[in-house]
Amino acid sequence: MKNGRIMTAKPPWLVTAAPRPAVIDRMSRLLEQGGLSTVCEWADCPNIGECYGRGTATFLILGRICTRGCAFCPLATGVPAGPDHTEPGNVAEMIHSLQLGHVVITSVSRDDLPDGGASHFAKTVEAIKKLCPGTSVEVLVPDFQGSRQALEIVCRAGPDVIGHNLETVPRLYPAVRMGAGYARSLEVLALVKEIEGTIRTKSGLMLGLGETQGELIQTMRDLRSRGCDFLTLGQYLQPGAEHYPVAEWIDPERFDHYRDVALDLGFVRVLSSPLGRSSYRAGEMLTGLE
Amino acid sequence: MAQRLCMPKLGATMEQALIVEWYRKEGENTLEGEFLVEVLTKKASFKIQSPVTGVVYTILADAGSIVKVGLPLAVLAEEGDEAAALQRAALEAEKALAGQEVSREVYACPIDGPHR
Repeated sequence: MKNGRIMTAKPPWLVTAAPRPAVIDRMSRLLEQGGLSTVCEWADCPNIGECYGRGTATFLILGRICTRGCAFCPLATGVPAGPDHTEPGNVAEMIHSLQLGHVVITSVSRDDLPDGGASHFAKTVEAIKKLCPGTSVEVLVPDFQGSRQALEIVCRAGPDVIGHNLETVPRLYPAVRMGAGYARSLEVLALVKEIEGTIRTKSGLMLGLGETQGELIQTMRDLRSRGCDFLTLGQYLQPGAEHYPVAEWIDPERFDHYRDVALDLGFVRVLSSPLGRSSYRAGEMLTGLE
Repeated sequence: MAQRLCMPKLGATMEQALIVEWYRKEGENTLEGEFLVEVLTKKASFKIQSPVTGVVYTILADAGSIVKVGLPLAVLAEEGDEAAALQRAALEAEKALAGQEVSREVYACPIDGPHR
C-alpha cells in the first residue's frame, strides 16, 4: 500500500510536526553535556517538536527509574540509583544557556528516598533561582506519600508553581494509578496551599481512559475545593501495547467544553486540548497574574 | 545530490515507527519544510518534513511498514541530480532497509472513533 492511510492511524487532531533533526541534535547535545534527561524524550511526548523547536523542555530529575509502575506511564520501574548531586547545578546551567523564562522540573516517584526526593527538588529550584533569577520555576512533584515535611522542604525553596497530577478520576485509580491514592493526591495540593498560600498549585488529568463526564466534573470540583489554581486536560495516549488502553478519543470540541466548565468552577487558568500536557506551554499560565 | 529521508529518533526509547501515510507520491514535487510522511511511534503520531525542495524519487517503505530509526524511508531528487546517481542512491537505500530487523510488536490499538 504505497498511498492511503493505514487503519491504526490516530485521529488527525493528535498528529504533530516532528522536530527537525538539527533541533533534536542541538537539544540532545546540551542534555548530554549536563548528563540530563527530559520527560519530553523519556515519555515520548507528542509535543516534543514544538517545545524543542521553541528551545524549551521539561527536565526529569532524580533518574529515569521509578519506584512505582503506573499503567499509563512509559518510564521503567525498578530500583533507582541515588540522586546525582551535580544535577541541580547542571539543570540550572542548561536553563541559563537556553535562556528560559519559565521552566518545569519533574521527577519519577522516589519512594526509596527518606524524603521522596523533596530536598533534591529544593536544591534544583534554589540553583535555578540563583543562576537565573528572572526564570519562573514550576515543579511537578510526586505525592511524597503525603508527607507534609517533604512538601515543606519543596515550598521553602520558593517555586512559583507546584503541580501534582491527579491523572484520572478516583474510580480508575486501582487500574491506572496503582500505588497512589486519590485522597492523598488531593491532600498534597491542599497541603501546599496550607504551607505557603502564595504558591500557585496545578494539576493535570488525562482524558479518554474511560471516565464519564460526571466523574470528570466531580474531580474538577474536588480540585477546586483544595484551592487548585491551574488545570490541564489532555488526551491519554497509550505508550505501548502493555499499557492501559485508550477507551475513547475525545474531540477538540469536547475539550473546549471542559475548559469552559473548569473556568466556571473557578480555576484561574485552564489548558484543555487533545495535546494538552501538564507542562505544555506552562509559562503562559502565569502571564497576567501577580 | 540525492537526499535520503530517514526515520528520525523522536523519543529516547524510540527504536522504530510505523508508516501511516505518504502525503506525496513518487514523482511528485516536494518543498523543503512541507510534510511528506506521517509515522506512528508506540505512542504518538508525527508528520515528518521534507528536508529539501525537489522530487520524491522513490518511496522505500510503504504505508503499513515498520522502519527502524536512522534507516531510509525515501530518496529525494534535487535539481541537477543525475539519473545514474539517483538509481545508485535508491539501490543503496534499499539495501540498508532490507537488512533491518523490526519488531512486529503490537502498536497501541486503534479504537473506533469519528475520525475514520
